Amino acid sequence: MNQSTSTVINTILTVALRNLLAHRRRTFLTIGAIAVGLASLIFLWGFNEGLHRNMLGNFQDAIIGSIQIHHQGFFQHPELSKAIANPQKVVAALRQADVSRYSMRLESFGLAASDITTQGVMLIGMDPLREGEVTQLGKRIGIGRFLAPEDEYTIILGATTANNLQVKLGDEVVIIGYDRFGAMLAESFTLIGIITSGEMGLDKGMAITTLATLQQMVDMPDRVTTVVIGSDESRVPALTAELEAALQGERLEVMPWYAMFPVMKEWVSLHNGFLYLFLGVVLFIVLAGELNTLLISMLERTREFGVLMAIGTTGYQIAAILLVEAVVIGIVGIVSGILLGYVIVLFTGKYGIDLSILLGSTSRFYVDPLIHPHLKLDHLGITSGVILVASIFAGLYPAWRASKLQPVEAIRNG
Amino acid sequence: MDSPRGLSPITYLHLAARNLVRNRRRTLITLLTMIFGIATLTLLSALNDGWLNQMKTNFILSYTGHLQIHAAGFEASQNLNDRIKEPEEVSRLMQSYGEIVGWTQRIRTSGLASVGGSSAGVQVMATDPEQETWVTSMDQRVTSGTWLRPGISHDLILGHTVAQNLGAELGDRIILMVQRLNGEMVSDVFFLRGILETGAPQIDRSLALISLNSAQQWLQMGDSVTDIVIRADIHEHTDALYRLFTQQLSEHKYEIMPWQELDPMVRQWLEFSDAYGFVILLVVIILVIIEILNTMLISLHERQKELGVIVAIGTTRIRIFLMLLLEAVMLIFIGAILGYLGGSLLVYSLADSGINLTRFANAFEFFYMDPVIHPQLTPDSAVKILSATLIAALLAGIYPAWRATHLSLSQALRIQ
Repeated sequence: MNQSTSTVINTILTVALRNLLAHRRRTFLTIGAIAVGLASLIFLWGFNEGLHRNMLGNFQDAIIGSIQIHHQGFFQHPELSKAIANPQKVVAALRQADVSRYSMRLESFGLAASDITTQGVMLIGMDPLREGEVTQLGKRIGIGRFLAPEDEYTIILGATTANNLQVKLGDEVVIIGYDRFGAMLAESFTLIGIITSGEMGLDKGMAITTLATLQQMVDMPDRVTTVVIGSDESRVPALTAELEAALQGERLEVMPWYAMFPVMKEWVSLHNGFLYLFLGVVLFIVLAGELNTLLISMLERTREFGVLMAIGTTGYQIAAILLVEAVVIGIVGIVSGILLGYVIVLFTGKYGIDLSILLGSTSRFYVDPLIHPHLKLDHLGITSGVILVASIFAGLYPAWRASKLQPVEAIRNG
Repeated sequence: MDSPRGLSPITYLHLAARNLVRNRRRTLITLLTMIFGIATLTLLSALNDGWLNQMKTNFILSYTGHLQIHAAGFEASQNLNDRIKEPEEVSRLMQSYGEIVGWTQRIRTSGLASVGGSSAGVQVMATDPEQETWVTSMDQRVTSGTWLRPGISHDLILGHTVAQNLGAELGDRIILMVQRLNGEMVSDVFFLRGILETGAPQIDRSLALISLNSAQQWLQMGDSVTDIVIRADIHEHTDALYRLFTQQLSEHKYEIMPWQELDPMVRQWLEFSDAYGFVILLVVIILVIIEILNTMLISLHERQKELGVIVAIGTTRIRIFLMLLLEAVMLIFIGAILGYLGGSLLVYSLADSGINLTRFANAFEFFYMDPVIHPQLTPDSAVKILSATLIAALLAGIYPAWRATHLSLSQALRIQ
C-alpha cells in the first residue's frame, strides 16, 4: 500500500467518524434502531429456546428419562421375554461413563380392573429409591403418595384411568398381566397414588408399582426390561454413542429420548421453523429501518456532498465515507444490541415470563406457564453476524446513490 | 373555527399536506418505513392466526368433531350403562339446522386387543363407516390398508402405535375383548383392514375402530349409542349449535359438550400457542413502533433549520406542534392503510400455497400441527394492527412534535 492510498483511507475514516460525531442525535437514533432490533431478535430466540428447554425437560423427567437401554427390539415390541440379560454389565458401563442418575424398571402390558370396568394399561415396576434420581413422577402425584421401598402390591394410576375405573385411594385394583410365557396372571393391588399431571400420556394408560412387586408377580426375580438414565440435555448424543460403544455385542438398544419419540424432536424443529420465519421478517424490519435512516440522512446532506465534490473529492470517496459510516453504526449498534438483548434475556430469564396471565389454567402440554428465556451463544453469533452483513448492505445503496451525484446540481438542490 | 389568534383546522391540514408534498423524497422514505412495518405485522399476525386455526381444524377433524352429545354423565364415567337409549330423539334434530354439515353415532368403550402373544389396552370405537367421513377426516388418515367397508362386520382399523406395539400387520386376526352392559367379558375375532395415523399420540396409541352395526350386535346394545358427534360448517358456529341443543334436549338425560370441553388439554395447548404467538407479535409490534418513531425523529432532526426559520418568523409553539403532529398522523395513517393493503395482498398470495416448513421438519403432522402454514386474516388481527398503528401515531406524532417545540432558535439556525 503506497503512501497516498493510506492517506486517503485515513481521511475517509476521519471524515466518516467526524460526520457521525457531528450529527450525534442522528447517529444515536440509527444506532438505537439497530440495537432495539437486534435485542428483539435475541429476546425472541431466547424466549423460544427457553420454552423448548422447559418442554423437553418436563417431557423427559415426566417418565421417559433422557436415555433408555433395553434388550434389542423391546421398545417396538415390549415383551417380558425380552428382559435385559445382563443388567450388571449395563451398570458397569454407566459407572464407566460416570453416570449416577439411572434407575431400573420392569415393563409389561396389562389390564387394570375394578368392580365396574377394566382398562388397558402399561404396567411399570419402578425402583422407589432410585426413580427420583431420573424422573420427577413423584411430583405429579396429586392425590396420595409415590411408591415407598417397603411397599408390597401397591399401585399408582393416572387420574383418567382411576376415574374410568371409579376407584379412589385405598381401593382394591386387580391387575391382570401375562408372564414371559404368555400365561395370564391376576393380583390384587391397593391404590396409593393418582397422577394428576394434566399431561398427555401420563394420566391415562399407566399403572405403576414397585419393581420388587412386579418381579414377584411375573416370577422374574432380579430381572429388568429397562434402564432409564437421566442426563444433561447437551450430553445426550455423546452419552448415547459412548454407551452404545461400551455395550456393543450385548444385544441391547441404547435409545435417547429423540429416538423413542422422534415426533417430539420434530415438533421442536417445526416450532423453530415457525420462529425462523418470524425472525427473518423481523430482520427485514431492522434492515429497512437502517436503510431508511441512512437514506434520509444522505438526502439531507446532498448539499454537503456537493461541496465536497466541488473541492475535488471523488464519488467513490464519498461512497466510501458513507459506507464506513454505515459499518461503524452497524458495529456500535450490534454491540449495544447484544448488551441490551443480553440484559433483557438475563432479567426475564431470572424472573421468567408468566404466560398464565394470558392463559386460563395451569397444567398443560409439558410447558410451565413461567417461561425462562435462555441465551445460546451460537444464536447470538448468528444474529449479530446477519445484522452486520445487513448494515453493510443498507450502507451500499445510499453510498452508490451518493457516488452518482453531480456537484452543481447537488449544491443547488440540496 | 376561525379565530384571530388561531388558524382554522383546514389551514393546518393544508400546511401539513403541503409540507409532505414539498419534500417528496423524505415523505416517500418515511412512508415506506410505515408501509413496510405495518405490512410485515399484518403478514406475521396472519401467519400466527393461520397456524392456530389449522391446529384447531386438524384437532376437530381428527377425532372429536365440534360438538358431542352423550347421555348425562358418560364423559366422566365412560360406562356403557350411561348410553343414549333413543338416539332417534337426538338425530331427528339434525336435519333442522343448516350449520350442521355432518353427524355420526359412535360407541366408545375400553378393551383389550391381542394378536399372537402380545396384547394392548385399546379404546374401542365403533362408528358408521359412511357417516363418519362427513364428520372427521379419519378415513383420509388411513396410512396403509383401507377404511371400514360399509356392511362388512369384522373389519378393524388400529391406531398406528397400537398396531406397532402389537406387531400386527394388515390382514391379521386380532382378538378384541370388551365388557358388555351386564359386565360379561366377551371376545371376538376381527381382521385388521387398515392402520390409522392421525398425528395425535393419544389416538394413535389407543384407537381400535370397528363398524357401529357390528358393535351394537356384539355388545347387545340394540340401537343405543354412546356419542352423537356433530360437525359444524365453521368453528364459530359451535356456540350457536351448543345453545340450540341445550334448549332442545333435557339436561337430565343428555350432556352436550363442545370440543373445548372434550379435550381440555388441547384447549390448553391452543391457549398456550396463542399466548406464545402473542408474546412474539408483541415484540414485533414494539419493534415496528420504535422503527416508526425513529424515522420520524430522524426526519425531524434533518428539518431543524426549516423549523428554526418558522420559529424566527413568529409562529407559536402550539402551532408548530399541531402542524407537525398532523403531518405525522397523516403519514402514519396513509402508511397504515397502504401497509395493511400490501400485507393483505401478500397474505392472499400466500394463503393458497402456504409457507412450507417441511425443510425444518420432515413432512409430518404432530399434535395437529401442519408443516405448511396458510396465513389467514382475521378481524382480531385487524384490531391488533389498528391499535398498534394508533399507538405508533400517538408516540411517533406527539413526541417528535413536542421535541420540536423545545427547539432553541439560535441552535436550529446554526446547524447546517
